[in-house]
Formats: sequence, structure tokens, C-alpha cells
Amino acid sequence: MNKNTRISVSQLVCLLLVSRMTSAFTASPASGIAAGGSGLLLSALLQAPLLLLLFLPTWWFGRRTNRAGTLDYAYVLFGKKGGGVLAVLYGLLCLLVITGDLLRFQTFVSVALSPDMSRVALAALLTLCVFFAASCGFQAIARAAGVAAVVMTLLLVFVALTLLPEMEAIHFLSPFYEGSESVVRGALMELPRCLEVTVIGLLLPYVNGNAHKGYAVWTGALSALLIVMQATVTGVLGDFADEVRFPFYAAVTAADVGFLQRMDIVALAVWMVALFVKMAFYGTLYMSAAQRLFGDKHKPLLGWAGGLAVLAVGLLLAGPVAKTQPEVAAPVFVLLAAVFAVAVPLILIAADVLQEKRRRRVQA
Amino acid sequence: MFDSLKELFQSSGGREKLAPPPPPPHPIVPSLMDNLVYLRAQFGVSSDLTIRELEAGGCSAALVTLEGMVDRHTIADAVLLPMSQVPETGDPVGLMEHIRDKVLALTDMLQVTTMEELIDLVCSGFAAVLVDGVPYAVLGGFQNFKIRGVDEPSSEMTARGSREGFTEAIRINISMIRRRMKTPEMTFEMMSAGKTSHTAVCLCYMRGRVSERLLSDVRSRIANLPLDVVLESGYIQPFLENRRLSLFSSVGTTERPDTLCGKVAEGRIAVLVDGTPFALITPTLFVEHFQSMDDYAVHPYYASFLRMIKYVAFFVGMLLPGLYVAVGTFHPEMLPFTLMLSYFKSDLATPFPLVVEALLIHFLFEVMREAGLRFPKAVGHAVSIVGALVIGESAVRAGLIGAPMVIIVALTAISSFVIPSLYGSVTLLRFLFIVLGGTLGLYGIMIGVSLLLCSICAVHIHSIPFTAPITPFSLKAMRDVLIRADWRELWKKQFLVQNVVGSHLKEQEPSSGSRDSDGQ
Repeated sequence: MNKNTRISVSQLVCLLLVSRMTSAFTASPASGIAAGGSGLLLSALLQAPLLLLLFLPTWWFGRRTNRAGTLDYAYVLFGKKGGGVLAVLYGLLCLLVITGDLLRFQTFVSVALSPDMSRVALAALLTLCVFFAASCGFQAIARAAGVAAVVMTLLLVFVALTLLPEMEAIHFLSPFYEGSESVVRGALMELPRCLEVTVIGLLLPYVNGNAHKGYAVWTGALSALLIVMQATVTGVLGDFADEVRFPFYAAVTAADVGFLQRMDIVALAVWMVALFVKMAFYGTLYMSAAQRLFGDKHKPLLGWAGGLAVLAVGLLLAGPVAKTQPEVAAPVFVLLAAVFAVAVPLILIAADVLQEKRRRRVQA
Repeated sequence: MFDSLKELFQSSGGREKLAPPPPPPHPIVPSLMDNLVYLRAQFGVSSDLTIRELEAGGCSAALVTLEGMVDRHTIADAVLLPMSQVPETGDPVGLMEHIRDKVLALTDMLQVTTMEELIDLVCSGFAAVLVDGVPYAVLGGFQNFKIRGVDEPSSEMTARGSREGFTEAIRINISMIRRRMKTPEMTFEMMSAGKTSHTAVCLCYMRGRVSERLLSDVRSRIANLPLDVVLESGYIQPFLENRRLSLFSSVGTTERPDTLCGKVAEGRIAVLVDGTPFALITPTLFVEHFQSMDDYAVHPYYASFLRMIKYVAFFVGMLLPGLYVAVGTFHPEMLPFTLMLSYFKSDLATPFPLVVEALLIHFLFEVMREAGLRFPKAVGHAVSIVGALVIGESAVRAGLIGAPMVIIVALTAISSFVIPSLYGSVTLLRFLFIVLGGTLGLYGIMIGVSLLLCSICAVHIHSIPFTAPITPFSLKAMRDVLIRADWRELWKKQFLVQNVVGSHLKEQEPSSGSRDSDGQ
């Protein structure tokens, strides 16, 4: 990424929001937990402090280095080799996220709507277009995310209002009906969908203004939107939410909007745009990591290579994954969060402290 | 990833590097004979070159003009007659000074020392006087070529406001602008474009409002045009844009002097090109395609309603056929029940798949539109009637096309005419979305829409985001985007394009100040 391609704090918030809400739209229920969904309302609220807690190392790193990017700073501290290792890790992480989303998309296509549609053609077109969009640059994706976030929020509010008559108070139980443990468990199970925390360190230098504040705003806005979404699902579907693969989509399908009758077409359209923006966002990050590693010259080639790798893995895994959850498993998330949100910033801080001490000693 | 593709497009500039350097200018020499021989050699057998050799004041002289470009009667009365009455002194320099100071004093007079300048001016309707023994020429402006009169602009009709549109003559266009902007800040900077055509180009801007960086950027782009011939402003347009693969143009066009004045007052630069009534305006943001002169003349509530209509029409014109094909082909269950029944009824009666039906009928529509546009008006109307009868009536009766498709085409066609400046882009995208919808359903269409969104968001025009002020967003600027606020509100804060949110011009020009800032 070019240092001149900066985005505003509000664009950062939109980008992160779109990225996370995309997963929420197709989130499969955490079966049997948190009092038929009522507990998940509190879980969504609890998610905000947990996300802030995970952000602490990155925040500390940003404060110490005047918001340098983790990858940029790794190159400064450890040189080409050390920085290169981190660039490879970040590149793989981004490809993993894109592949996950491609799988999620294929599952949604084959399960929720049009099972007879050509999955391969769709996946190929999506991947091709995503990597083309990624080549448009970080600013372009952030701007597109601004539009997607507004449309997504409006859709969510509209769906919630439309479904108001369908909601039944009986579906809302006490969040602590199954004990406070289930609320905490619900929050912890929601966390793996927040992979944004692993890449926030990369974005710090490209944000005009206070990126830390932006992150905090994101956690708040995210909780609010998730509560609206969860309340809609719980109010309309109740316990039945546990039985369907995509509860929010099922709830939207139940909406009866006057002469239009159904509005799943609108929800589907908005979700597709958001998913595309999310994948392109990670695509941009992947390409920036690849650029750091191999320079500008090989960037196009690495873009093609990344796109092909994502497509190949996505198509290969589509069959087995379609039968299970298209989500990042909790242990994988713990590993990723531990490495990218905790270990990387802390290692960089430690290295920086050591280097500074050495510098002082030399000066003395 | 697509850089290699882009590089392929960009590599066409290589031809320019191989071009030989321009030859040195040919000076006017004292020998009249040599000068005339050079001129005749340059024009070859061209029949319109007129060289009138005469004796004046005891010296040999020549009057060089191009037939049809000058007023012969005025030249006879104001040049030839006074020259024949000059007393014989035999002093060529004195004669030339006399012609310059006494004979041509009242006209548009110029003195040149090179043959290239002389030829350029003679081609613009000047009459050149050469005297034997004088190494320069004096020229007077006696232009009298026939031009179309000021007429109502055909592509930007308004219900209210001026009925004047630009003509092909650049000077008349300049006068139309000057009449509306009576301020010395309004600047008209003449340039020339086209290595062979030497077409007159005029940059119009307001000093004090235009960004200096923007101005120098536009100036250098026009000065470095690699074209040989410039016959229309469309030749220059791509050279003012930044992104080659974008479907939407970030350089606007107008035929209206009032629109041009409004844009220039907001810090933009207009480019007038001699020979065309279409002026270019740069930078033009995406939202400006939805603004028209009428919006500012009618009541703000109605103007805001019109804006909404335009935005809806844009999406209908671009997406409706594709969505219909996608839903009909892959997701008919999404249609409301009664609509689904009528859709199936018409689908059973037609032989083609929906996507072929849509492509066919839209293709026919475009053919007829093109024919109607190029034919003489009377024949054009006939084409429209035949088209309407063939497509609207006979095709449905023959069972070739379903009745809903005809309604879709009609709706799409009308919607796409609402924003004439986007017609070309919307048409191309419509075909793309029909193909995507027919092959990959709603998913295909939404992938296309997302790609389009990202690709529009990537466009910068002179360091200003093309999609501003929608994204990056500015609430204050919304007063003239989704709605049109009252003039009592609009005048309070002057909008300057370089201060739009996300603009890098703002960062680099502190003098433009934050007073007018329209940022976040």
C-alpha cells in the first residue's frame, strides 16, 4: 500500500463493520446455547469489551511507535528477513480469510438459494472480480465499504422494523435463563468471526486521524448492530433459529413487505456487495504484503497467484465444508488472535525496547 | 494483478517517442519572391490560396489570403485601395510601417516573423501583407466565414432558463460566457491543440477560485497532446481523464454557457474547442451527472424530487433488464405470486430463453435508436414508428417476445434517457448485467455491481475522488447531491471543487483556505 493512500477514521469503521457484519448475516447458530438466542443479545454486548481487550497490545504498539504499521515496523526492526517472515504470515492470513469467505459464499449459494447454479463459475467470477477490485487499491475499497456499510445498516433497520409485527415476546427469555456462563460462552463463540482484530495493526499508518478511537467506535457500533440482528432473529424465529442453517436469512425471508411480499432479494443483494467488499479488503492487504515481500514488479503476478490459490482451495474444500460450518473454528481463531493481535505487537514492542536500550548504551 | 493489462493499454504511447523532433521555424526573408515560393510550396495545388501581387509606394508587395475565409469587399476597401494610394518613396520598411500604423490600424493587427505563424494566422482568416525587402509580415483580421447562429442546445433542453447554446465558433462562445460573467477574474487562455490542425482551444477559469495546481495540470495536458488533428472536444477528453478503464467519464461536457459559468464559478476549468459546440468541464464528479440547469431554477422541493427520479432512473436503466432476466431464469420464487403467474404465462408462449429475448430486443432497440438519430428527422420518425410497431405489437403477437419484456424495455429506454451524459455507460452496463443475470443469476449481477462500485471508487480526477461527496462522505455537500437545498441555503457557503472532501488539491494548497471547506 502506498503511504499516500490514506483513509479516514469513519472509512476504517465502515470497512471493519462491513467485514464483520458479512459474517453475521450468514452466521449459523451456536446451537443450543444462550437461552434460545436471548442470551446472545447480551453476548453481543459482551463482545465489545472482549474485542477491546484483544486490541490492547496493538493499541500499546501504536502508541509507542506513533501508529506505525506492524509489518512496516517489523521491516525496520528485523530487516528484510524478519519483516519478510511477517509479510508471509500476513499474506497467508489474508488468503485464509478470503478462502473462508469464498467457502461461505458457496455454501450459501448451494444451501440457501439456487442449489442448481454453477458453483464453479460463480466462485471463479467472484475470485477474479475480487482480485481485480483489490488491484484498485485500499482507498477504493474503503470508499466502497462506506457505501456498503450505510446500505447494510439501513437494510438491517428496515428488516427489523418490517419484522416487528412477526416478533413474539414469548421468544425473549431471560438472558441468564441458562446461567451467566452461557452468555460468556456465546460471546466467546462469536469472537472467531471478528478476524479484523488480527489485521488492524497493518492498517494503523494508513488511517488519517485516531485509528484507535475508530476501533473503539467499531466495537460499539458492531455490538449495536449485532443486538438488532439477534433481536430480530430471536423475536421472529425463537427456538427455531437453532434448526435453520442461516437464521437471519430465514427471518428476512419471512418478512412480508406489502406488494413486494418478500425481501430476501434485497437482503441477498446487500450481503453480496458487503461480502465482495470484505474479500477485496483482505485481497488488498494480501497484495500489500506480497508487494513488501517481492517489490512492485512482481505484484501483478502474485495477485494472480493468490487469486488462483484461493479459487483452487475454495473449490476443493467446498464439498466437505458445505456439510459442516463455514466458519473459522474457535481454536484456529485463538491461534490467529494469539499470533497477530497479541504476539506480533508485543514482540515488536519488546524488540523496540531492546533496540532503544542498546542505542542509549552506545550513546552513553 | 491487472497491471499487465493496463500496461498493454498504456504502451500505445511508445509511438510518440519515435516521432522526429519538429523542424526549426522558417523565417520570413526579405525577398518577396522567396517568401511566395515557400508559401506556394507549402500549400501545393490548393485552390483556395489567393496571392494578390501589387505595387505600392514604389515597392513590390503581396496580399495573402485564403478564399472564403476573409471578407473580400472589406479587404478591397480597407487594404487594397489605401495601399494603392501610398505615395511612391521606394522605401519598403517605410511602406510596411505605413500599412501597419495607418492602413491596418483599426483591425485586429499582428506582426509575425516566421512563415509558420503567418500560415497559422492566414488559415484562421487573417490577410497577410508581405513587402519585398522586409523580413516580417503584418496581418489583419478580416474573418468572414459562415457560421451557424446561436441556437437552443439540442442535448441539454431546459424548461426554464436560457435558450442559448454554444456554436462552433470559439470567439462567439467566449462572448456568450463573458456576457454572463462580467468580472475580470474570468480568464480565457488561448492555446492550440493538434500538431497539424492547430485547433484553437480556450481554457476558461476564474482566477482566485481555480486551484493553481489543477490549472497547471490541465494546461500541461493540453500542451502535450500527442494528437495530429483535433476536430472535436471528444478528442481531448480522454487526455484530461486519469483512469483509462473506467466506464464513467470524469470530464463533463456542456452545450450551455450558463451551465459552464456555474461550473467555472465552483473552481472548475472549462475547455472550449474551436469547431464544436460542446465544451469540456474538468473535474466533473459522478454526482454532477445527476444535476441539470433546471434543478436550480425550480422550487427546491421539486428539484429534490427530480434528483431522486434521476437516481432511480439511473439504476432502473442499468439494472432492471438484468434483474428481470436473473429472477425470471433462476429465482422466479422471489417474484410476488401474481407476477410470477403472468411471467410463466408469457414465458411459455415464447420460444427463446429470457436472456436471449432480452439481448435481442435491447439490441434491436439500440439499432433503431442509432438509425433514428442518424437519419434525417422525417425518416427518423418513420423508423421509430416501424420499430414501435414491429417490436411492441407484432413481436408480441407473433409470440417471439413476451409482453413483460416489452414493458421492461420501454421502462429501461425511458429511464436511460433521463441522464443523457450517462447514456453510453448505462447502455453498456445494461448489456453486461443482462448477460450476468442470464448466466449467473442475482449473484452474477451483484458481483458486477460490487465490481462497478469498487471501480468507480478508484477513480481520481486531478487528485479529487470521483465519487465525492458520497464516498468519502460529506454531510454538508449533500445539500446539492441527493437533494437541492434552497438558494438561501446554497449561497451561504461557497462550494469550490478543490475543497471537496478527500481532495488532495486542498492539502497542497493552503491558500485555498478552509473557509470554503466542504469536508467532513
